[in-house]
Amino acid sequence: MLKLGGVTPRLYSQVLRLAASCNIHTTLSTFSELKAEENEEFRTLELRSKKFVRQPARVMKSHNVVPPRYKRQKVDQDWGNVWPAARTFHPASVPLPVRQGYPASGQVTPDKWGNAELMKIPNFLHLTPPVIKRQCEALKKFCTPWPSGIETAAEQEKYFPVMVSKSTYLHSSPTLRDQKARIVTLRVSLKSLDLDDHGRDKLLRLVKNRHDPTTDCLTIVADRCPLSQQNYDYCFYLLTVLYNESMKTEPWEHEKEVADRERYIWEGSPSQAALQAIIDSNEDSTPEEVIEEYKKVVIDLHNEGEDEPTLSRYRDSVMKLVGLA
Amino acid sequence: MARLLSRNIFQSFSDFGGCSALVRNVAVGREARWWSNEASPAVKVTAPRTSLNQPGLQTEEQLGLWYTLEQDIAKQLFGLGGIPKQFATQCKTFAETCLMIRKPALTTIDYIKKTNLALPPNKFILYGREGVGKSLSLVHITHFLSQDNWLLVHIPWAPRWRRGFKEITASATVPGRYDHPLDAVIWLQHFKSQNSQLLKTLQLETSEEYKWSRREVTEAGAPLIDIVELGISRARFASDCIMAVTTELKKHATHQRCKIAVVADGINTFFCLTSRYRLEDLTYLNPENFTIFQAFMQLFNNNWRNGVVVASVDSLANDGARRESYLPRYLLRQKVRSALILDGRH
Repeated sequence: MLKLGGVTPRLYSQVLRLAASCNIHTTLSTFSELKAEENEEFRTLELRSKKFVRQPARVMKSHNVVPPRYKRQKVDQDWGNVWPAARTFHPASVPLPVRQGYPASGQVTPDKWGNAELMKIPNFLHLTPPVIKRQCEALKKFCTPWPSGIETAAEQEKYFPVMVSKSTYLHSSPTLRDQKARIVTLRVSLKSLDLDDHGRDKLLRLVKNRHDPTTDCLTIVADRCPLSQQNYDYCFYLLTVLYNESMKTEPWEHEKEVADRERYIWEGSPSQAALQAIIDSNEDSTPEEVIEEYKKVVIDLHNEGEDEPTLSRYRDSVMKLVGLA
Repeated sequence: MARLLSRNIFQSFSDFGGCSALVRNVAVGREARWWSNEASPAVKVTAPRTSLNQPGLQTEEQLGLWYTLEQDIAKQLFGLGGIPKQFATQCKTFAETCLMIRKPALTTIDYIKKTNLALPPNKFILYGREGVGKSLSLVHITHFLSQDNWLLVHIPWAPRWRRGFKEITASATVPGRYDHPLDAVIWLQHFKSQNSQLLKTLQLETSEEYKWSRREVTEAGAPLIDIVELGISRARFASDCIMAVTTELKKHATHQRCKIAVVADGINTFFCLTSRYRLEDLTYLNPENFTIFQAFMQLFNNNWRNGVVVASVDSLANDGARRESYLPRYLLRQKVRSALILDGRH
């Protein structure tokens, strides 16, 4: 911008004329003064059509936002009416300040507003205890009383040792069916089956990992037939066959060797022979309790497993036996 | 050791002409640093040694101290095996064999001293993780046994005969058995080196005649050392010599003519199911068919007296598949069918 201070109007106009002839763009700060002076002589050349007028800033229309629903909820409202069925999480309806999600660095856990994590997961807001109670009360008229005589778990186990479970599915899609509905699971505790030692050992070898040693339960899962009724029959057939086979003793079972045994048996073991050799060589008679203790400790070491406590008990017992204690 | 090293350092420093050369190299203008003995005396580190070099006399007071195994005794007892290779290199570097007196070895020595020799042999098993000190404890115990006039049947590292053997030949005497000609010779030399003095004093003799070939016969009543020397000179018969020696020693011990200590490092290898020797039908031989294995395994029985067995069970002595635990029952109990495992006990 050409800044001229203390210059006469005459000089100004001379400059303008010069600029115009040379096609030089000029702007003058005292344009209005000049215009007033020059009005009589020349028409003003307005290079700019309009003066730049600053418009006022756009005002965003503030909509009347209804406050979230939870602000209008009473404290003693019936929640079952607010959330009657399973529904995706809706932050405005839930009066709880829940937070979920991994916080960004330096931030707090994201709040419930627009929280995809909260919306993705299933919520059980439709199953609060009072609602459940109400539903149970409503269902009660369709129920029969629990049979007497099987109130406790022990009685249930005694009269109904076998537990059969299956799942049914209902789809709202072109087909109603689900293949998983054919799977039938049969669960029975081995205590309910009257098996002797041999029978139990044979059954465990037949079923392998279908037996859970901690709960002593046999679980048979059948899914090889297309219908659940067929799988149910198959489960019971398997149970029958397993039981009957376990009770039988085949002629070749006597070929079982020491290495095949599932449990350590003291009678006829090398430890028994070694103990006998020590007792025979001992001039003073070995006390009965030392012998019994050794026997017990060796059986424990093999059957319970080897760790520092069983090993140290074995060590102490041997020391007593050979007179080094 | 550290003491010796620090002396060397100061020796070399004084060789620099009073360290003046070093001082000159330090930037002028800074205050000079003095590296002499007097200005900053070095902390002299002395190893906690004990002069009680007889294991029989060591007590709990010497726990944690090192005692020196004389070089000639070390060579006599462990010249052909017994000291782990890494430790042997250290001993060569420092020109001395020092062992730390530790509780397991002391306890075992104590038990051996109190053993009732009229009973079947007591078997002391050292067990523990790798690198914990089983082999060196056995070295300590072997030293004690040798000093206490026990006849040593020492197996330095048993797995060498199962998987690192030099040569295997089919036995000429017993079909189905296999010999270790070269390894047997080495062991007989080791046995002779450890026990030559004691064999001379005990004057043990053979109880029966041994016919090695048409011309070579050892009569009954000949000194036992003859069989040992025959085995050393004739590699073909060495394994059978070991069998003869061990059988004779058992008889002598039972008749109280001597006391025998069997020391075995890695005894669980005797119960492994396969060796590295491949037969013609491409199966691996069961090591129970080795002559020398049979010879030593008869010493693990209960049918002899006046003896003691000190052994270590090492997971490295087993094959790779059976090394999960360091506990003795797991390592020794290998003849178990793994087809049925009802729980993790096997």
